[in-house]
Amino acid sequence: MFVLTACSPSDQIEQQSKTAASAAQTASLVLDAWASGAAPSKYTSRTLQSVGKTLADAGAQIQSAKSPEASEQAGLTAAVGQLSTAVTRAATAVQDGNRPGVEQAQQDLRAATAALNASQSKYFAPKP
Amino acid sequence: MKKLLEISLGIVTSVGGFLEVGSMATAAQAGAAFRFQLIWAVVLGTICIIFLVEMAGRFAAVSHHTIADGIRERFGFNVFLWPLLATLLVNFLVMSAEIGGAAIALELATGIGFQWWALPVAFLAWLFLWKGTFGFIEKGVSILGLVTLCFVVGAVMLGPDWGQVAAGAVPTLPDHDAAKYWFMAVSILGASISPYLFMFYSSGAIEDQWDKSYLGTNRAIAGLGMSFGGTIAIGVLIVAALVLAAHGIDQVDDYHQLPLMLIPIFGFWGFVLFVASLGIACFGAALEVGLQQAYLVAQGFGWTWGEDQKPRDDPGFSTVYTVSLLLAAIPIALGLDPLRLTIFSMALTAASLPLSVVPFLFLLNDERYVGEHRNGMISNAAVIFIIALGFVLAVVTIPLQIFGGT
Repeated sequence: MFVLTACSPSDQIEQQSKTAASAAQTASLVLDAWASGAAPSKYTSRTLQSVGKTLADAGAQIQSAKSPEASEQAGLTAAVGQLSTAVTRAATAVQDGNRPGVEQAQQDLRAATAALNASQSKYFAPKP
Repeated sequence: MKKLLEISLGIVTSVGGFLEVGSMATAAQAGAAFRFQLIWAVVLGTICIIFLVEMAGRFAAVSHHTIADGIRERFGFNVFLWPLLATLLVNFLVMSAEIGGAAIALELATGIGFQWWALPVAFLAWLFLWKGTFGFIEKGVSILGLVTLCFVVGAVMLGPDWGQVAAGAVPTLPDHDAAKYWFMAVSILGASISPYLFMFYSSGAIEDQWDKSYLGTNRAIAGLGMSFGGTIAIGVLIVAALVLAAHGIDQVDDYHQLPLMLIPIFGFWGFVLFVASLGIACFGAALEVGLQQAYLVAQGFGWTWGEDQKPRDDPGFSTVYTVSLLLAAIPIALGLDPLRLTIFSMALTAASLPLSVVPFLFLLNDERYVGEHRNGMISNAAVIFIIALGFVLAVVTIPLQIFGGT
């Protein structure tokens, strides 16, 4: 009932990669807030866990879409997987109060976000 | 001087009572996904609710009947049954969403999952209704609800381009995600034109023993109170656009994202303000919807009713809000996502509008009830417009829910 209905594999991949990009920005913003002392640890940790689930779902849906552009699709899946890993690490580091761990996870998150952007550009680039 | 005080208190009550989980969630989603482009839906919804609230108050002040009373008496119980059932169902979903909103606020504050808070919130709401008076519920909780003004302060502090904000008040076609855009518009309208608001208002007018001398007060409270309430919803939308959308967060499908609207503006206090706003607004709305369920059933069946009476003097009335609160807490206690429930219930509210608004056209033109204070041309045109809008919403809501729902 609540699931957004996609018309084609390409629509599904586009929608899920947008969801992943938005979720990654949520993780980035909440980590910045935590680092500056503006967000409590429990809230930050729960938000990151929730974002992690969203990313895992998005990754699974991208992977299961039957797209003809298999290599570009694999690139997107890998980028979302990187995001998911970075967010999971960040959640653990926040729970442990491990600031260096959070900083490392933030860097990983930025790198994974850049990888997602690059994969999106490649997937949605006009084909000859 | 007394009237001025009553108007001020009434406006404060309307402002504090306007924003609840529905208007907060829909405005946040709209701002994040479409920036200022859906401000028109908030403006349209606010104009519609101003007209309906004014009419509900006028009807009560002149005829000494609530809207529900009027429908039952004028059309008979068989006709009244349909709006009764539709409104009870929609109110049930809205009440569940409000309990969910208050439970989320408690989760954010404590770190303990929202499911665990659903029954305690429902119990606390029941205790307020059981022990409290109408004035305490109406004014006390709503005055606390003024904390939601932090969204307006936040919006001003962010310094939006007011030209673009004003441009958002004019409906335009979306350049992406059309189904989602229209679904958001429907949800915003559902959150703004909520039947419980105007039905509660008419019951409140009877509880406060309004008569014809309150017609001016009624007009001022409906116009100014709802306008200020709409301004807060626009504040939420602006903050979501300038904070969430600006950071690349264009999908708000998780309630954990919502505090991020205020944190970049107010720092840690932004988190505190958000939790307080959500908790107070939703708890207040849960009380009002709980009372409204009891008003509706008691008025429909001709039972004794009144929040100022002792529960033993109106046992049916007290039983309805007791059972309603308990039942509404169950879906949240079972883990149903409150944000998704909220968006769904707002869309369903929009779809049910014709059933609760059509009777206005008859009641507010019936001289036996409103005498010389019947609707003029503008009020009738507004009701006809809202009915037409309600029918359109009823037809498009389900397809939009399927194609554009989150």
